[in-house]
Parts: sequence; structure tokens; C-alpha cells
Amino acid sequence: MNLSNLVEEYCTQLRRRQIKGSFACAKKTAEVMRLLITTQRHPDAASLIEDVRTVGTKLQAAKPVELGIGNIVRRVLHMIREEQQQEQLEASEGSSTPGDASKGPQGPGLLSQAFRPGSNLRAFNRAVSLSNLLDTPAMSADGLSSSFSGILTAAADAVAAAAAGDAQAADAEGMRRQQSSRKGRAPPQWSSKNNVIEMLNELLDELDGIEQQIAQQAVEHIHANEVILTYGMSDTTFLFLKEASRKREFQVVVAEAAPRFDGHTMARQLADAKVQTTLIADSAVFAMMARANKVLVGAHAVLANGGVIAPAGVHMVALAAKRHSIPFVVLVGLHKLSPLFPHDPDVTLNDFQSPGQVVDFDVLAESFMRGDEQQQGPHAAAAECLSVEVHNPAYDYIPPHLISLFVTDTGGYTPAYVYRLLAEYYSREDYSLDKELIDRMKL
Amino acid sequence: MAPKSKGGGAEEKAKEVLTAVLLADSFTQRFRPITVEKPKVLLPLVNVPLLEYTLEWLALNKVEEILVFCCAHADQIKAHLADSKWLKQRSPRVSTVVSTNCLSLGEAMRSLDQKDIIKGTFILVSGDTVSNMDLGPALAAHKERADRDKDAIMTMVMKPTHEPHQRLRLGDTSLLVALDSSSQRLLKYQELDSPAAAAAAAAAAAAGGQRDSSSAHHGGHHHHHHHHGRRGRSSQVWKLDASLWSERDCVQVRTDLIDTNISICSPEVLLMFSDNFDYQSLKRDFVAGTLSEEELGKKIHCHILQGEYAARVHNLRSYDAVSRDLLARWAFPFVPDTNVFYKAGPWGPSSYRYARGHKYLEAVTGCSRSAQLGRLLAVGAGAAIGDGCIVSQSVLGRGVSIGKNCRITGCYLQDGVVIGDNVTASHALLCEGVVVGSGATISPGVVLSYGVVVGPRHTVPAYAIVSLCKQITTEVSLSDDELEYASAGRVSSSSGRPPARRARNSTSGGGRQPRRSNAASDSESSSSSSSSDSDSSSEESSSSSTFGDTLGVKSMEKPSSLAVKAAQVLAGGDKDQKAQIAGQVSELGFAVHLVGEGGAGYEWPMTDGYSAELYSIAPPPMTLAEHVYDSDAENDAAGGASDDAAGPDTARGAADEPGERSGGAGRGGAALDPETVFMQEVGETFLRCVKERFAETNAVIELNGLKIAEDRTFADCARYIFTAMLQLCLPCPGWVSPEYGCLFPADAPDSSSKDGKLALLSRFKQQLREWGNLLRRFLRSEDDQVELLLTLEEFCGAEGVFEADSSGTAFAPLFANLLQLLYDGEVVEEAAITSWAAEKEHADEGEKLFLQKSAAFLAWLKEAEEDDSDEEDSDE
Repeated sequence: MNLSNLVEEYCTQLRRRQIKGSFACAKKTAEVMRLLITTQRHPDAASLIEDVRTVGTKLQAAKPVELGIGNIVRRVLHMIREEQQQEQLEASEGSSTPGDASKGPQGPGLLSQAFRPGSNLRAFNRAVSLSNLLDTPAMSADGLSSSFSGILTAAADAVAAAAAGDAQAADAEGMRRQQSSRKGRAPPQWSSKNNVIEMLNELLDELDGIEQQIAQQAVEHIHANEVILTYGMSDTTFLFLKEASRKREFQVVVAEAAPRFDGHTMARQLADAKVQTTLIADSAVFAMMARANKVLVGAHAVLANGGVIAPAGVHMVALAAKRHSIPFVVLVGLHKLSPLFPHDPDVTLNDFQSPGQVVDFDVLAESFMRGDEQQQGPHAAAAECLSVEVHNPAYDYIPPHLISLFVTDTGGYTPAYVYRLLAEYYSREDYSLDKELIDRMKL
Repeated sequence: MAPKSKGGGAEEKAKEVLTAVLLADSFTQRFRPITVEKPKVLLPLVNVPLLEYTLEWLALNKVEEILVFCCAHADQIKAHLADSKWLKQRSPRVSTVVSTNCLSLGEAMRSLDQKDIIKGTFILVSGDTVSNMDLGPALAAHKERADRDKDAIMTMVMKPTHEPHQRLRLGDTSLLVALDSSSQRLLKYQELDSPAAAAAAAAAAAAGGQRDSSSAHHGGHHHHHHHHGRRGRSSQVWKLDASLWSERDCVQVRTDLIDTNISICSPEVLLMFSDNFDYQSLKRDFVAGTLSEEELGKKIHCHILQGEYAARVHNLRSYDAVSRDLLARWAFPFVPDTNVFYKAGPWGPSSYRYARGHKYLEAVTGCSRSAQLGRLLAVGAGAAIGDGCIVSQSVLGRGVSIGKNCRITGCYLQDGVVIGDNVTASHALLCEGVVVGSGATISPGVVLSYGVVVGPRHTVPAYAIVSLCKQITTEVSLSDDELEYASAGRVSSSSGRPPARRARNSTSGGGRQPRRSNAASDSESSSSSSSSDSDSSSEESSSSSTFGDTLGVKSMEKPSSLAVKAAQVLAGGDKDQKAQIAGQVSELGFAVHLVGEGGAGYEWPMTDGYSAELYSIAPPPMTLAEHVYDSDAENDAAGGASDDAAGPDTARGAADEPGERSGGAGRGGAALDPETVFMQEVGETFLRCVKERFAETNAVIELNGLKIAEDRTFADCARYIFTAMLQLCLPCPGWVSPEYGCLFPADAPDSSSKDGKLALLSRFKQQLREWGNLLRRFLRSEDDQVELLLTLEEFCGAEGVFEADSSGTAFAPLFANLLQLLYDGEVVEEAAITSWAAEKEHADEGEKLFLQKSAAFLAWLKEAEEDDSDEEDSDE
């Protein structure tokens, strides 16, 4: 079974909603990425980036609402870029003799480097901070491009007119090389690839340990005799509470989370774990908030502005917590950290699921007859407005100002700190995976 | 293909590959003429072939092996699968089994058995199933049962519905199911005609009465008593074998279940089809057969779905309903914006995005800014919608083009449909390549098959079905049948299934048949007022065919190339070309009354006794819906007041001839209003008891059964038992069938003379002596007794139900005496008489007639009462 079929199959599973939960999706994506990197041949970083990005875009498009997929793809891209930089740095240190091809990696990496102004490289190495927040995108847009041809054209732009002829020659040379590398039986493998694979394996291990990492911090956040309010079912939250219960006595109030009612499962599991548990209806959340000391919820995704996407109904809980000045803590693994903003065109905030969970199928028959009745009457056009539409959104967006704290696998952060985390895990040029969009922005 | 396990049994079980058999042919004709050119499973539902929904759902349930069983149009289905993602994927493995000469499900199953490719448990579905159900629990339950008891061979999945209109919406027939409450074992499976019948059957079964020992063998429409047969559809009585109760304490009789046609079968099912070579249909033959042959011990169980979606697209009505459900996301994740479904073609893979109000637009749609897109709408890539259009509740395929200022509501426009300017279309299905000229109107329920052209400014009448294929109708004998099939090959085998149908007709009761053909011929005559010669001839033969056994076999051919060419020119050619082919077009004889001048297409008459209004793409008109469901309401209403009996029941509509309603011709039955019919039924049942000298208890059982079947009260029965008793004192009235004539006295005593009065009274006294007890058993309360007195009043006054039969007036002078007799016979108690009198006290003067007549008796009664109380007082 070849890779493209495997990717296609994974996409189908995502579309069918066969893989549930952002953790499972993230993990599977990382595995597909590892397979892609290990099985395919890539002569250089740029082609690897191109490949990863293409497949990543496809995966993300299969389930746009699952931002974790894109996050993992970006993490992988970031790793490759770091490796590439490292290499370039090494190369530039030793590039006092540019003709020495045997030393550095082959191909356009070296080429492009020859044309690249040094300032650009420096800018790239700087971490994103408030001071350079505004100028980095511009830099990244024309300074560093992902694709092979992008690098070449960018390089050509940067070089003075006098060098234009050389650049063209380089371009042609690059093309020739690429062709020959495709034709050749065993094209050379990018030398640093193994490092990337190693990092990817680390990432996979990291993913497996995330829930444990979060749970270990439980004792720091939950104090004796506290009343913790939570909403629905979340594995992370459950493990967190369970861990805390080993050292502390406290009470948990679980809101049932209609219409999926997974709060029932949560309450049952907590009770099994010997945590004192109270189950309430969602409508009682506000009333119950007065008695709570803390709200703990899981999330589906964290966005770049520090807002989160969480199961439908959490926004209401957050507002109630704000009103009562109760700390609202979100437990979230960093694989859910997305560099996208809620207003990004890439972000699909919601999944509208079957109304069957909310109301019985028979309601259709009722509205069917009523609609028909109207059609017989004089206001035939008005008929269609009358029958009830049933919605069952899966997620809520909670703005950052309602969130007190994120507890992640690497520690607690406030929403305001999220942008710093982003710079740590992702490269800016990967924020948008969609190549078309990038191209459009450049134009 | 088959699981490769030659090891021991236990090993085999562990490795069992989950297999599904998907029937890519439903062996029915509901989608003709569309299915003449393309198999039903490839018909796009919300722009995705039906087959894909079933395959995706099976894949979602981790089915590893899917066998697509193709009969008609096998080549097209195979081509579709070859293009799709299915053959490229590892799991599930999709393979096709082709058997072009299968004409029924039974033959398909036998062919599968012969091929010996199924070893383990398999899921049997038809290729038109849309579901998001999790098969896991049902499968686990089935396997668990099968392990325990290898006779548990099948699990059927059913979905409950509590809203009676649901069936109407989904175009389903009613279903009566009896289940063992504890094991969910199926005990009885009976398709019913109307929900009213279902309700009656449920009521009958609930009472557990009708201990009729004859077995409920072989589905058909059995009538318990012959007088029920006369009533036709609304009063069929369904028998449940009393032995059902002998083995268990509790039996569920349910009419709220919809059969999803998803079943989980053990391999024995295939064997049973081979053993019983006459089994055709899964439900009518296999299930009915298995249930009736109890001695074989095979068991069928049910799995009741909760909350999940499962429906079949088995006719145009369900096509519309399921499309809407999909757009309203009931079958999530099978909604357009998950883009689950593979899509090829010039516009690339599926790329729907969701917008508020259940709107789904594909990435590239050319929609004018001034067009209004309403809710429940899917628009495929490359569709163009002109200025000022209002489009809602519709599905627009890829590359559809709609002109300016059109109004499109509830329509299904397949890929590449072209619609001119100012077109109004509602609730219609327009297949690929249809062209509608500017200013045309498409009425509700219209189906335009592939390539049909509608001329400009023409109105296509409601429920018209137009195709470029011409329906050819021939009267042939049985041997020609076979010839027909042999020569017509695949195309005709897709739909013409006369043998199976004929068998069905013979099993179904006579009660339903005439009505159906009525409806069919009604719809035909209304839709073809100015038909050409060929049309009318086909109409004649087709309507005659519905009447029964001299079935005309309809075969069809692919649209003639001439017709297609002409249609293409008419659709897109310039003036010169049109002029060129003008001669040809007139030769082709298109149905101008349907497609207009410059249109192309033939009429496709509805011939299979199928109500166009009920099962079309458009929601049925309200009046019709009432007609189907009114019997319940009627019964409810009739239970209370007696004065609603007057006036013809307008809702009964076309099937009833008003002329039949005159009293003497009352044996027409169905034409009469329900109260009268009920009166006659009670009367006849009572007379039969009299004639056959039933013991009182048996008579009670008989009448009770009737009461339950009709969903009446005790008082209702008592009223008419009483009037029948009164009538027995007089010569035979018109409505009584001749066999009971001998029970009636030949002469009528002259009630104006004293002797006559006495004679009449003594006759009644005799009746009362004999049947008074029976009457008493039906008078459960004081209210019932008052009701009886009011009936007596009506009877004597020949009002209400008794208007047609004035014999009661003979008793008018004897009212007070009758009252006395009833009182003496302890049929009516004193309290009832007083409260009747009190009630009448406030009535109009005109209605006090009988009160005045009985004034003396009432006075006496009052006195006696006072005496009684005096006595009691003195006692104390």
C-alpha cells in the first residue's frame, strides 16, 4: 500500500468522523508524517517541506474543524526548518570556500544561500517578539519562502540587477538538478533527515505523555475542600481530578452537557474514582457557580489570541464564572495550540451535528404537515419560514478575557502568553498551510 | 473473496470477516422511467449517487467485505465503482457480483448461495439505504443470540415513529409487528394498508380477544368476518394466533415501527432461500414463511433503533424526504459539508461549505448577487443562478444553469440542467440534461427524465411524468413474457417484474385492489385530456391491466436515437436546425400537452395502481393526507355524539360515488357514512348471533371483537344491538342481507291500532327476554343507559342514522311502553331515566315530544321512588 492511498484513506476516515477527538487525530497525523518522511526520498529540506505541506493541507482540509491536525503539520514543518537553519548556519560558517560542494549539503540549499543577503538570515533567527511582531510577516513573505522555486525567486529579487544574469543561470541550473534528481535511480537523501525523524519520534512520545504531564500539576491547582465545577466529559480533566484526589479531599460538580450528556459518564467515572461528585443540569450552572471555587474544563483547541474552542455550552459556563469572579481554568495539551485566529478564513469553528440528539425524528413529520397546510393557503411563500430548524453545534468559542489560566503539559500560562508559545513551536511562514492563500497574499 | 479459513470451527469464528451484501437493485419499479436509463442506486441524492451513502455507512461500521450484487445496469454500476475510491482502498474490499437475470431478491439470494461466497454472518441491505446507525450493538446482539441458539438466523433493524404523518412523509406503508417483549423475537410481521387499519389491529390484539384457532398463515389480507371485507381498507381485522400467548406472558404488538430494511443474517438465510425456491421477496415471503413455519424453529429478532437515522429511498416520496433530512443534517456525518463522498468530474472533488440556514455551497458557484438563496439548499460547483432568482429547499447539481427571475422551490435539479428565464418550478425532479424553456412552469410532482425538453411558456401539469423513452404496452401471454425478457435484456429486466407482481396481487385482498385502480385511472384521466392516439391506447390497456389478472406486460426501450437527437436540437439548436427537424419532431409524436410546443418527451403513465399524490416528489395535498388518516378521527368523533352521522363524508374523496349512498343500495358499504356502516355491522353481527343461536357469551365475544376493531365504546354497540332488536319486531329492513330475512316477521302490526300495539310490544318483550342480558352487558354505566334512551328517541323519530330507515316510526306511539319494558327488564335503571328526563327538560320544544309522551310513566316512576324513599325513611 503506497503512501498516497494511505493518506487518502486517513482523509476518508477523518471526513467520516471515524477518528474522534483531537488527541487521536494529532497522533495519527504525526504517524502519517513520520511515514511520509521515512519512506519518501527528499534531496533537500525545501522539497521535504513542500511534501509535508501538501499532505498536511490535504489532511487538514479533510476535517477543517480539527485544528490539531494542522498543528502537528506545523510542528513538523518547524522541525524541518530548524534543521535546515542549523545546516545553513553551519554551511555559512564554513562557506569561506563557496565552491566546496562536498562539505555542505547539495542542491539549492547551498545555491539559495549564495544569493541570500545575510540580514535576512539574522532576522529569521530572531524569535518573534513585540518589537518585531509587525515586520516579521513582511519579511517572511518575500524573504523566506517555503517552496523551492519560491526560494529561488526570492533570492533573485533580493540580489541587485547586476546579479540577474547569474540568478537566471542559477535558476536554470537548479531546474536541471531537480530534473536529474528525479530521473536518477537513487536521488540523494537530505542528510539531516534523520534528525527530523528523531525529533518527530520525540514528538510522538511527547503526545503520549501529555495527559500525564497535565495531571501531575493537579495538586498545585486543587486545594483541600474546594468545590470544582466542570462541564461534560473530558479525559484530561478526569485524569487531572483523579490525580488530585489521591492527595486532596474535594468536591466536583459536573454539568451534564446536553444534548450529548457525556457529563453523565464523567460523573460516573469520578464516582468510581472515589471523588465526591454532584451531577447538575446545564441550566443550574449559574446557580451552582456561587458555590464553586474553580472551574476546570477541557478544550478542543486554543487559538492564537488566547481564546479557545470548547464543547458547546462552555461559553455559558465561562460567563457564569466571570460573573461570580471564579477562576476559569482550561486544561489543554499543547498539540491543541493553533496559530490561527478565530477570524481566520481557515478556521472552521463548528461542526453541526445531527439534530437527532436534540429532538426526536418525529418532529419532521409534524413540521412536514404544517408546512403543507400553509402551502394550501394564500401565503404559500411564507410556508417555508414556519417549520422549525433544529441545530446541534458541537463547539463554542470562548474569548480570551473569560479565561484565567491554561494548564498545559509544559506548565500554566495566561491567555496573554499564548503568542509566545506559538513562536516556540511554529514557524511564522507555516501559520497558513494553504498554499493558494499564501500565493494570493503575495500577489 | 471468502474468508480464507480452512482451520477448525473456533478459529474460523475468531477470524470471521464482516461481510455485507448490498443489493444494487431493489426489484421494484417506483423510479421508472428514470431507472430505464440509469440504475436507481446511481440516482444522485443531494448530488451524490445513492449507492455511495450505503457504502460509506458500511465502511463507517468497519465492514471489511462488501459484495455489491448487480442485476440491471450492472455495467453502469461496475463502471461507477471502478471510477470511485472504493476499489483503490484497502478496507473495505468492494467487489461486484453480477447476475443480470435475477428478477427478485429471492433469486439474488439463491444465486449468492450457489456462488458460495458467503461463509459467515452478513449484513443484508439494499443500495438505497441512508443511515448513520452504529451497527455494533445490533451485530453483537445477533452474534450473541446466534451463538446461543443457531436457529436465531436474522435480526431486522426497525425504527420507531410516533407521529402518524411520518409514514406519509417517507412514503411508507404501515406495518404491524408482534414482538416477544423480553427477547425481541419477531412473532408477526404484517404490512398494512393504512394506519387506521394498523390502529384497529393493535387494538384487537391488545385485548387479546379473537381467540381464533385458525393460523394466520401467509400474510395476505384475511378478513375475519365477511362483513369486514365489505368495508375494504379501513376495517381490516388482523388475526394474531392465540398460541403466541401460550409460550410467553407478554407480547408487544406495535404499529409504530418503520422497517429500515437493514438486516443481519446468518448464512442459513441463503440456504433457506434455496430450499424454498418460490421465495421472492424478503419480507412477504421469507419473513412471513419463517414465522409461519414455526415447526422449523427458525427465529427472527428485531433491533429497535434509538435516535439514529435510517431510511430507504424506495420511491419518489422518500427521495424528497431523505434529501431534506440530509440537508437538515439528520444523517450526520453524511452531510454535504463533510465532503465524505467521492466526486469526480470537471469540478474536482466535493468541496461543500456550510452556511447558516442549512445552505451548502460548493467552492465554485456562480450565483448572482441579486439572487436570494433560501434555506435547505445545496448548490453544486459550476452552477449559475441568474439575477432575481429565489431558490430554496432545493438541490442543484453541478453545472446547473438557471436564468433570470426564476422561482425554484423544493426541486431536485441534477447535473447540467438548464433552466431559462422567468421559470417557476416547485417540488419536481429534473434529471440530467433536462432543458426548460423561458417562462415555463413546472407544477408540483413533476418528474422529467433524462434529456426531456420543456417548451417555452408551457405549464407542465402536476404529477406529470415525462421521459424520452416511450412506454410500450403489449398484451401478451405468459410464454411471451419470457421472450420479452430474453430479447429486451438488461434494460427491460431492470423493472418489468410481472411474475412477482402477479403473485403479490393474488395474495393481497380484494378490498384494496379496486380502490387502487380507481385512483390510478383517476389520475390518468385527469392528466391526459388531449392525448394522441398512441397515448390513449396505452392508457386503455394500462388501466385494464391494473384491474387484475390479464396483466399487460410493459417493456421499454432506451430512448430512440432520433428522439434524443431531436431533443438536443430543440434544447440548444438555432432556428434553422429546428426548422430542419420540424418534420421529424412531428413524426416522433411528443406529448405536446405535457412538454409544450418545442418540447421533447413522452408521457409515462402511472400504471401500477400507485397513488400519484401520495408517493410523488411533492408533499401530498392536505385533503389527501386527511383522507388517509381520517378514519381514526372519525371513530373518535363517532364515539361521542350521534348527530355527526348525517351528511356525506367529503374527505373520502374520489373513490366514493355519492350515488351509492341511497338507502336501498346500502350494500355498497364503503359509500355510506361510517356511523351507518357501523350500525349495519353491529346489526348483522347481532343477527348472525340470533340466527346461529349463539350462546350469550359467544355473542358478547363477537360483538366485542367488532367493537375493538372499530374502536368504539360499549354504548355504541348497545345502541345498535338495541335498534336491531327493535327492528326484529318488524319486517326486514332494506340493509339486512337476505340470509337473515327469515328472522324477521313477515307482517307489520299496525301500531296505530290497539291490537297492533300489543302485538308489537309482545314481540319486543320476547326479544328482550332473549337478549336483554346481552344488552345489559354492553351498558356499563348510567351514561350508557341514557345514551340508549336517546337512541330510542332517534329511532322512533327516524332521525340521524335512522333517517334512511323509517321503520322506527312504528314504535313512536309506544315510546312510553318501551320505556316501561326497559325499566321492568332492568335494562335501564331508574336513575338513567330520570337523568334522561332532566337532560331533556332543557331541550327545545320540538325535541320534547317523547318526553311528553312518557310523562305519565315518569310521574309514576317519581311516585314509586318517593314511596321507596318513604319506606326507607320509615324503616329507619
